Amino acid sequence: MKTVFTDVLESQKKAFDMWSDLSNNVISATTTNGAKAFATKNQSFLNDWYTKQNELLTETLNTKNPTEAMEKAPENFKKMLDAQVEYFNKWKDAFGENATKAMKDVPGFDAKAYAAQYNDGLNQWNNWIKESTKWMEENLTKNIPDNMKPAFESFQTSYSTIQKFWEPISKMIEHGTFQADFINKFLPQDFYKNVVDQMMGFKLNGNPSDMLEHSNKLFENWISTFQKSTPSFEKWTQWAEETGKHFDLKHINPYFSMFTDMTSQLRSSVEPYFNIMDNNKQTEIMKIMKDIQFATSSYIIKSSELQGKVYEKGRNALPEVIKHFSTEFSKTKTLPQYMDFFKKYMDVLEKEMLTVLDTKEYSVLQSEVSKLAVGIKSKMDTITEITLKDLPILTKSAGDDFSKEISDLKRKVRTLEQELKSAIELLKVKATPAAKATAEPVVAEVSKTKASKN
Amino acid sequence: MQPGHFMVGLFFSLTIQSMKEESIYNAAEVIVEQVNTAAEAMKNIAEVNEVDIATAPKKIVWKDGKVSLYHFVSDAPKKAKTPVMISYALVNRWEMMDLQPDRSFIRKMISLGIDVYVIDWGYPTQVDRYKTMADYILGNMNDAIDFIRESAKVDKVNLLGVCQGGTFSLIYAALFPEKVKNLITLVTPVDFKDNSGLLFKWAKDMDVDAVVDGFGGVIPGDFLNSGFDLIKPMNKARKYLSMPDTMKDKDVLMNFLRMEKWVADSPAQAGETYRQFIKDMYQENKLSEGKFVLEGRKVDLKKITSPVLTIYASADHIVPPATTIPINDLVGSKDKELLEFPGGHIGVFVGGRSQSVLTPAITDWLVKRDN
Repeated sequence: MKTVFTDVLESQKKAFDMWSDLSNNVISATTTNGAKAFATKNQSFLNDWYTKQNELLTETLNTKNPTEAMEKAPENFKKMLDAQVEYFNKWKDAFGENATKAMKDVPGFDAKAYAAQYNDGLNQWNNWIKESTKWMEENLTKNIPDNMKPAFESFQTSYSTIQKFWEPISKMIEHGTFQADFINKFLPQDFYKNVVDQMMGFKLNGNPSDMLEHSNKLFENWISTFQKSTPSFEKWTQWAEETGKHFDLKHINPYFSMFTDMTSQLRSSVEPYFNIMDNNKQTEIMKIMKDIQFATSSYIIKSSELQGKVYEKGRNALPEVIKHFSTEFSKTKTLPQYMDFFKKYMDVLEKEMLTVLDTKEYSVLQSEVSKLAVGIKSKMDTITEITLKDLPILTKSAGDDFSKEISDLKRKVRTLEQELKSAIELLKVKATPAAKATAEPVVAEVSKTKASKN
Repeated sequence: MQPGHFMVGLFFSLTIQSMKEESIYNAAEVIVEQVNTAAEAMKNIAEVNEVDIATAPKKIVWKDGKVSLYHFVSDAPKKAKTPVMISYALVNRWEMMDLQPDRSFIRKMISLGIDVYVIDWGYPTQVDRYKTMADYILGNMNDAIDFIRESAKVDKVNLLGVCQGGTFSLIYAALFPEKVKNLITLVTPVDFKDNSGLLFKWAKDMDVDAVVDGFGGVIPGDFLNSGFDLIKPMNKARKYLSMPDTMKDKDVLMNFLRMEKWVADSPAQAGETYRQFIKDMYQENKLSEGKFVLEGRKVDLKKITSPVLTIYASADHIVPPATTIPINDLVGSKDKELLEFPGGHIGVFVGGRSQSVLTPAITDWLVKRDN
């Protein structure tokens, strides 16, 4: 089976092949072009170098266990470099000032070409690293629970979104241009919004007017189809798919994900029963759909308002961070690493966001958004209920009645058990030796009740 | 974005395409170092077979529906005859207290000679939607404590409540003072009028009836977790940004994965309990104001006369110190102590200081009061 390790080993093989070929070329060129002195004097270290490369290659290719291959990779790479350095030093000692001149006779081994070859070799390792890292991430992700993956993916996206603009941002740091107006000229209009969306897990992130229009169109379309006749299973599925596509909000912060739940829940619950639904239920369902349409519009508006507040504050973060690093740069003349910049940006962005999250206005708005979202979900439950009415299937409300009864009964049993326990305690205290004998069976009874409960 | 780019960017920011001759060897050295790091990380990841948590030996000794009582097995000589029952919050799972073998609150307590039980609230489902706080406290908690009293042949047990489980423990100890020998509360909210924590502020504006009914009576764990995430919106990003360093060290990597597993394992909550807790505690602060009534029984914290140890975390952003410290004044005990732990809400259980300072301090406190 071909794995990433096969590629890694292939890549290593190519690198070693290259160095081995080069070694052969050196030997061949110096011996055939009449540079006999060179060949005679230096045959030993060239051969030594060649042998080392081949040994290394063989050893690497013989490593079949992935973990072992990983363990040996740095060691082998170090050996390869050591052999290069050793060779270079010996070569330099042997030829001194004439070194470059002598090497002209070696095909592909002038200084410039050597650098290029060397870079190729390093590139092979770089590729190895990239491939290995990909493997590493895939395997790490396998061990992360599914409901934690969205946050990781969101983080990766935000990291790379900002990184795309690292070059202009570093220029701004260098030149001390941290004024918001200036920064905004170099960044796309939706830069801040995208970053905040990714970092906060906001996914209801279209233009509110467009979203409203689209949402209304979907509902109107559905309702008008429904008015004509009970839609077929196919039509229903088509509508649900269309809705789902527009509000594809998987992997998002649950505060804002309820709308997605709503569409998927509706689809999965109703689909199997849709084509056996009684026509009389249409009016009832249509009324609820109208309510849902209204609630959805309100949800879109309120969510956008909520997110807008966070975007607005989030805009302050970038100028502040650029200013901070500009001040540092003016003292040290050193630009920060992207990682350090990103860390600082996260801190400042969080500080700005918290000033919004900490307000009464945000708190109230968040509650309204949650209420709307769960309200929609609840209405969808009602549609499912209506659809399943009169069918021999346990509906949620019937299940709830059942749950209530169980809870009430459990409570009653608990109260009785505790009363009984107290009575027994009381009996124990008051018991005379004669009375004690009559109390024992009661204790046995209690144990029995307990055992059956467990 | 394709998977892998972030890691490549972090580990290997070096580009070597336009390298000059003189810098080749330096660059190569950097690459050697990076290859070393990557190889170490890959080796660590390749060796991850199972992310296990809560590994301290234990057995289920009592069960009622989804609720279980664990008794931890230990050969360590007992230093106190009174067992401790730990009552964790309904939010998230008690496994935080035994997250990893070398940093396990429970293992440490056991090794110091304490007999430990944990009540596991289980995973409520739709059938539990009508389960109330009274069902948890007067039912499950009381039954489990009675079981321990009977099996350990003691009149009273030590009760150690964590976070919301601490609030439950306070209520229990006030209603059944005759069954509680010593009470320890860890990062437990009691004074909910304080608004220094965002959760406390947001909960006051929450339309809890709409939320409970809208969710159909069971509150999803992810919904609750999202609230915690928003308190520190960048915490997750910070965690992932440290990933390259995390992966270099096998132990750190495993700790990271264990924590991910614990966070992800977030049980749903019975709607009626959630409704009551939000209304009576967060919104009306009934417990600390002496107005809380549980199934017709008024809960007066002054009735707690057993020794009480109140532990709060100085940097706790989930349950801020101001919501916890008042426990010390609200209880009727004469023997009471307030202990500050320098750290956050989770650090109380998994931090190095938890092992070296906090757990031994709790154990000492209990042993001294075991007569």
